[in-house]
Order: sequence, then structure tokens, then C-alpha cells
Amino acid sequence: MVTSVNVSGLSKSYNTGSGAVPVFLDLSFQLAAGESLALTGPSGSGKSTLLNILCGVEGVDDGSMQVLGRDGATLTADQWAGLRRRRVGVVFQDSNLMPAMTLEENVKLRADLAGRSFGPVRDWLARLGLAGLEQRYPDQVSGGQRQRAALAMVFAMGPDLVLADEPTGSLDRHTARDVADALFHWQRTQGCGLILATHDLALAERCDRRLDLAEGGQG
Amino acid sequence: MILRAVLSHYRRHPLQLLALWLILTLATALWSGVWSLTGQARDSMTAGDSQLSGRQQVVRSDGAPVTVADFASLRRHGLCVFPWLQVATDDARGQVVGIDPLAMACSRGAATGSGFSMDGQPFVDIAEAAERAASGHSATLRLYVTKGDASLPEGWQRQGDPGGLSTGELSDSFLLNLDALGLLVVLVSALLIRSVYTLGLAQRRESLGLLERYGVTRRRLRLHLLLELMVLAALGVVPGYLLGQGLADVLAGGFGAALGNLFETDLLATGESLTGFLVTLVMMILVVLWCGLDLLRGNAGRTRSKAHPVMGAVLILAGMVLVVPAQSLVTVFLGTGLVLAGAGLMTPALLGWCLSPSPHMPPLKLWRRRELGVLAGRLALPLVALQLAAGTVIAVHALVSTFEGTFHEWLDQRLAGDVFVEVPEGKPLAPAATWLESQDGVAQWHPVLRGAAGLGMNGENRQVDLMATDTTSTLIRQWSLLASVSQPWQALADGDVLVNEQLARRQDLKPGSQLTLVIADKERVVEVVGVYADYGRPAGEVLVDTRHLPDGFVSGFRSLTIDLADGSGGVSRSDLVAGLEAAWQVGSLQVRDNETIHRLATRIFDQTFALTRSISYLTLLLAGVALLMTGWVVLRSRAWYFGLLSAWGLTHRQRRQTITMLTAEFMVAIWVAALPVGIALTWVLVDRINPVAFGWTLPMAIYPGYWLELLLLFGLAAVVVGWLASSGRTEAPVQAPRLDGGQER
Ligand SMILES: Nc1ncnc2c1ncn2[C@@H]1O[C@H](COP(=O)(O)OP(=O)(O)OP(=O)(O)O)[C@@H](O)[C@H]1O
Ligand SMILES: [Mg+2]
Repeated sequence: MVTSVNVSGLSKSYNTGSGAVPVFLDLSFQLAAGESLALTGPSGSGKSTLLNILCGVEGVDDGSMQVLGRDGATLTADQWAGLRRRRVGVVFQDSNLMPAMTLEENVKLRADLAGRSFGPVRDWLARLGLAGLEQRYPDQVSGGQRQRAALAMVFAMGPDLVLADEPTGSLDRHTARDVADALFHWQRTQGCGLILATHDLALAERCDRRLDLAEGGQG
Repeated sequence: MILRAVLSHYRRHPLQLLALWLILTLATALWSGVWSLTGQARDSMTAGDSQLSGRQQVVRSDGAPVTVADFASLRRHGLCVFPWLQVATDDARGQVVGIDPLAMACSRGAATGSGFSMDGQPFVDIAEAAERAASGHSATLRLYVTKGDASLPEGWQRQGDPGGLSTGELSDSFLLNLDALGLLVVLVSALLIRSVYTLGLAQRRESLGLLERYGVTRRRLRLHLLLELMVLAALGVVPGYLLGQGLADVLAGGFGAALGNLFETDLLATGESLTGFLVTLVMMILVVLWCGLDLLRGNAGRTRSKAHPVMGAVLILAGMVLVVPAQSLVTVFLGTGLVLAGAGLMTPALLGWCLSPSPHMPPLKLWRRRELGVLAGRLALPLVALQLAAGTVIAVHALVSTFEGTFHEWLDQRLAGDVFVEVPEGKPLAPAATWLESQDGVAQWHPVLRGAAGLGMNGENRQVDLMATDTTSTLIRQWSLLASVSQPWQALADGDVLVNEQLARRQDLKPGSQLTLVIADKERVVEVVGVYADYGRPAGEVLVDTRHLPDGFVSGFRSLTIDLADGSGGVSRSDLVAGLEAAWQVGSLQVRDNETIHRLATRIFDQTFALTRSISYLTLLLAGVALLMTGWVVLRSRAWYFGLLSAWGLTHRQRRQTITMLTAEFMVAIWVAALPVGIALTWVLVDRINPVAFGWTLPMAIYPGYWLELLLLFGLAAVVVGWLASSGRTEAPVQAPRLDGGQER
């Protein structure tokens, strides 16, 4: 089995004024290519922190990890940036779009950074139900539409791994399901890895596996 | 309790409080500094002027000597005129001056001791002097009025200033420009205070809204905010005022010293009194009210000011219509104000339009353009303030550079020759001429006669000053003329005339124009063969060759300009004076050392230039600081989006480059927008204010080299801000604080 992500013995703590505060200790898990993993756990359990570590914007204290076949210990900051640019897509709870650009321009920017052509950009938007809204600015569409545009950006860059931090967290149930449908459909057809942090158990159920950080154990 | 809640914002953002206080303080400092400097400069100039020429001799237009009857008739005309009877003493070298203390009582400025303490001559009562004159001693009667007195009756005129080197008009020009600058400073700093304040308010909108939802009435909220602003302003006014005074003292120190040197007296009364403080206070209250107005109208914190490009264009047009044909200073100022206001209204929108991206731009460049649009909208006020300040700096630089060049050149021309000697009244030139010819140490010399002439223009007869000299002399042939026919000097020697710029402008004379010259009742039609610059005198003047003066001409004032031979053969100044005194058999001569005057005049103006430059730079600095502060706040609020760039795979360096590009483009855009403002202001200062106020103008010049210097400065600021904005923990957008206002465009 080809692994997308391989983490073993990972420890992370934050240095605050009152000493080091551990977030997790000795965390290990694997993600196969084309597999989806739900990160769950109460607030403050370290879901976002783990996603940050996996895309290289946060360092670790101990342990090893491989992301898309690259050894996290040897990757420089610029090499991490290269990974994020072309192979690892990131989706946040909101504010995924540049506010001064239209939806279409946002998607084009993301595709351009990943070195992809603009050809399918409108297509992605249309498939996510955003046809006719391409020239709107983010503040001119609904929250669900914004998140779908954020997905369009990820789809347009064509990553091998997607890290999503509560992508439906600020949406109502119905809208959240639409967005999740689009995400899972695309992930399955592309055979791309997905790690999704969420409080929504229904959403977590839709993933192949689940890793509960409160328990700090294996998924 | 509410107050504490209102103020709690500043507990979380102490820097913002500091920034607001700082901008209030700095603005106050600038106002009080400029006010005090202008006041001091004006006092110095006026004091100097009255010291140098608190009195002015009046003469008959027909050139005839004045009599006691003339004195009486002038007195009856209501003039504060006083007699000056100069009588030779027995030893023929000394003289006494008879004055009438009673007659002088009407003149406040020129009290007996100070105004007339010249030449060390003993003063006596005029009755005593008259007795001596009656007993056969040679005597001359002169009549004086205080300067600026009411107009003279028909047949009388004021004696021109010897040699025409009055710097008064140049000083006035500078004071006027300083005033204009002061107005601009007030405008710019008011804009800045407002921009820093509204930006702060915008950030507090949410917490204020929260308070309102908790049941605090909107009225009370506004009242508290207004109170807060007033307290802050009060805290800023005092240190700001003191800072401004200190600044003015430091800057003005050298200025006063130079003037004091020239007039040999202490001129600068330092420590501007209550008025300056009150003016500063009133201005501060006005600005605070301006900020508060928004609060009262209830649109607190709306940062995105609507673009009024059309309104701006209309204002600019209206301003131009006023300025271009303006005949009065008020109109010029008003029109310029309109143009500036229009530029301010138009610039943010215009920038937005110019920077609007084209659809086929690379996406990252498009992103930059779009962010620029955001910056231009949110920083509209400080942007305009910086634009105006930079425009002012450009204009002041151009004006000062042009002024310096012109002034030095003009001074060189006018002060050619080493020594300038006044020919004593009633003495013939011949004995001096004979003596000068006999001296090997005198390289060359030439007499200059001054008097009055009539100018027949379209049937009316107009009085102008007349200057006559030997036009073959090298001393005048080196003058550079503003305009001339092909062989002006030859034509002048053949009997045609030169006119000064003032006369040319007023009468619309050009090289080749014909005019009827009336000298000593003899009419002659002459051609204007050239126009010369004449910054020292307000009056129109005609320059003719001495040989073409009619016989009946009586000069009001005669002088000799003498060039001493260089090296060992040169005669010493004291020998020269003694020789001339002996030749004319007079006790003392009015002698002027051109070099000293040149040096002192240059120093006064250098100091004035330095002053003007400092003020404009301080304004620029203030505007720059304000833009940095507001820009910083805005850029911080975009931190999440800059962080997105990292999440999308831009390396640290690439992100830094992109953001620095953004700030650089922003600053360059302001710089570009400042250029037309600078050129327009230069033109107004040089080409409108001077001719309207003084009748002459300076050549309009622009200095692209200086623009580049300014660009460098702007670029440097942009790099620093870009570097700061791209540093810090924005790399992990996941950790970035939630945004105020979310998806803001
Ligand atoms: N930069 C930081 N400095 C110090 N502590 C931090 C920092 N970022 C996160 N933490 C702490 O690390 C722990 C994990 O935070 P994290 O954001 O990963 O939690 P989370 O599981 O994503 O929570 P939520 O479900 O609320 O998003 C928390 O206790 C948090 O306070
Ligand atoms: Mg989280």
C-alpha cells in the first residue's frame, strides 16, 4: 500500500509563559493514498495543530513523519512551501478566499500557483453549483458558496493530499452536507488523501477512518 | 463604568492610543511651530525694514530743491513730515543736522535717538541750524516721512532707495509663501488626525455595537467618545505646543542671528505669547469637532469614504478658472485650495482606476492590484495627506532652488563693483571724476543717476523711476536680460531704453514696443530693447544712457560705483573715501561695501530657505508617520490573507517580495500622484502669487533629480513597511486571530 502520510511517535508542546504545554504525546498513524481520515476530539485537543504540522507550518518536538513520500525531518521551509503549492491542499473553516478577488480569480490564482492551466476553472465552479457567481466577490455570496469556492480552489490545484480544518464548521446542516458531498465525491474519484478535522460526528462517519485525539491513541 | 468599557479598547491596543496621542501632539507641534516661525520671520523682517529705512525722503517730482514753504504745505496736507536741515560747520568737513523734535512727535516708529542715529553727526534744534545757514554756511534741507505713510500730494514723490537694493519685497514674497505653507500644513495635519482617528474607530465598531446591544444609548456612547477625544486632544496640545516652540527656537536661532548681524540690533523677541497658544488650541478644537461631527451624525468608523472623482474634477476645474486669470491673492489662494481639495477627492478613486487590473494579468499580479485597491480605499485620507505633503515639498524645493539661483545671480549683477558711493546733494560730479581718473588704484567707475520720468501711454502720462548710466560700462553689460532685441546694448547706447520686469508686465511692454518717454518736459519716442529683472524694487523703472538725458534733467539721487584695481596697485577703501570727501569737500560720505551687503543678504535668504525647507520636511515627516501608523493597522488586518499566501505555498521570501512589491507600488502611486500637485503648486507659487503680489516672476523650473530623491525615500519606507508586514507569525494562518469583519473587500 502506498502511504500518503506516515506519522510515528510524534510529540508536540507549546511554549507558553508558564512553561511547556503538551498538545499530544507519542502520536502515530498512517494514511494510505486515496484514503480519508477524520480527526476528532474536543476543542483544544490539537486537531489544528496536527494539520499545521502535516503541512509544515508548525514544527514538532519529537517523532518522525513522512508526507507524500518526503521525510518531514529533512524538508526545509522552502521545500514544505513547494509541497503546499503543488501537492498539499489546505481548507480552513472560513476565510479561504482573497476578499478583493472574485471567486473565479481566486480559483485561477490557486491553479496558477500550483502550475495548472486555467482551462477547467469555470468547470470546477460550475460543478460545485457556482455557475453564474464567478464574478461575485466573496462577501457577495453565502457562507456555503464560499466554502464550495474554497473546494473549487483545491480541486483546481489537483493535490495529492488535502488537509481540511472544519471545512463545514460554520455552515448549517444542509449546506454542510452539500459541501461534504462535493468534497468526498472528488476525493474518491481523484484517489487523493484527505485528513479532515471536525466536531461533526456525521461528517467524521463518512471518512474511511477516524482518529480521536482526546484519546491520543492510534486510529 | 461605560467609560471604562469604552476605553477598554485601548487597554488591548495601547499602541493605537499612543498613535492617536502622538499624531495629535505632532500636529500641534507643527502648527505652533509654523505659527511661531512665521511670526518671528515677519517680526524680524519688519524690524529690519524699519531699522534700515524707517524714514523715507520725499522730493519734488520736478527735482527742484525743497523749501520751508514746501514743508508747511505738506504738513497742511496731513502728512507726518519732518525737516532735516544739514548745515556745514566752520571747518567745512563737519556738519550739523537740525531737526524739529516737535515735528517728529507725530512719528511713532522713528524716535529721535534711534531712527536718526546716523553718521555720528551732532543733532541740533532746527532753529539753531537755520541760524547757521542764514550766516552763510552751505545748507541742504531735506524732508522725510515715515515709511508707509499716506499717499503724497501731486508733484511729490518718495526718494527711491539708494541703489535699489531693498530686500523688503523679496522678504514679503517669502513671508507670503510661508503663510501659504502654513495653511497647507494645517490642512494636511487635520486630514491626518482624522484619518488616524477614524481608523481606530472602525476597529472599535464591534465592541461599541456590543455596548449598544447591552443597552447603552447611542447618545451616551457618542458623548463618551467625544469626551475621550477631547481629553486626548487636551493631553496632546500642551506638549505639542511646547515641542513646536522648541522647534521654532532651534530653527529660528540662526535666522535671527543673521538678521541681527545685518541690522546691528537684537531683533528676535523669542517666546511667542498667549496668541500662538490660543490659535493652536482653536485649531485643535476645530479638528476635534471635525472628527466628532461624524460621531454625532452617527456614521462613526466608516472608513471607506465614497470616491468623489467627478466632484474632484469639478473642484479642480473651478480652482483653475479662479487661479489662471487671478488678479488678487485671495483668489489665488482660494483657487489653489479648490484645486488641492479636488485633487484630494479625486486621487484615491483615480489611483484605484489606474491600478485596476486587466483580465489577462498573471493572477498574483492581479492579487496585488486588488489589494492595492483595498489599501487606496482604506487609507484614502492619509494617502491624500501624504500626497499633498509630498507635493508641497516638491514645490518648496523648486521654489527655493529657483529663488536661490535667481537671487544670487541678481545680487551679483546689482552689486557689481567694489564700492558704492552716494554723491552728496548739490555737489557736482566733476571734482570726484578728476580725482578718480588720477588714481591708478581705481580700475573703473561709473556714475548712476536716478530720477523720475513720465511715460506717455495711450494718452495718459504715468510716472516711473528713471535710471541713467553709462551703458557702455562693463558693470551693466553683464546683466542677463529676461528678453531683448538682438543688439540691446548698442541700441541702448544709441538712445533706446530698457525697462524692468515690473513695468514690462504692468504696461505689457516687449522688446520692440514703442513708448513716449518724458524727461524734464521733453518728449521722445523710444523703443524698448530689453527687459531686466529687478527684484528689489516695486516701482516700474526705465533705464537710459546718460548721454541721452535732456539738459534740464535733475537727478534725485546720484551715486558712483567704483571698481578697485586688484592686487598691490589697488587703492584702499579708506583712502578712496578720504580722497572723495576731499574732492567734494564734505565731512562724510554714504559709502556702501558691496561685498558685505552681498554676504549678509545671502545669509538672510539662506536662512529663510532653510526655514521653509524644514517646515515642508516636517510636514512630510508627519504625513509619513501617519501613513505608516494607519498603514500598519490596515496591513495587520490583512495578515490572515497574507498568511493564506503561505498556506498556498509561497515561500517566506516569495511572500515577502510580494508584500513588499505591494507596499512599494502603493508608495510609488502616491509619489506619482504627488508630482502633478507639486508642479501645480510650484506654478502657483512662482507664476501666480509673485506676479500678482509683486509684479515680477521667477523662471519656472522643475527638478526631476529631486523627484527621484523623494522616490528613493518613498521606496525605502515601502521596503521597511513591507518587511514589517511580512514578518511575524502570519505564516500559520490557522493560528491567526479571527478577523474583525471577516471577508472584507
Ligand atoms: N501558538 C500557540 N501557542 C501556545 N499554545 C497554542 C498555540 N496554538 C495552539 N495552542 C494550544 O494548543 C492546544 C491545541 O490547539 P488546537 O488549535 O490545535 O486545538 P483544536 O483541536 O484545533 O481546537 P478547536 O477544535 O477548538 O479548533 C490548545 O490548548 C491551544 O491552546
Ligand atoms: Mg482547530
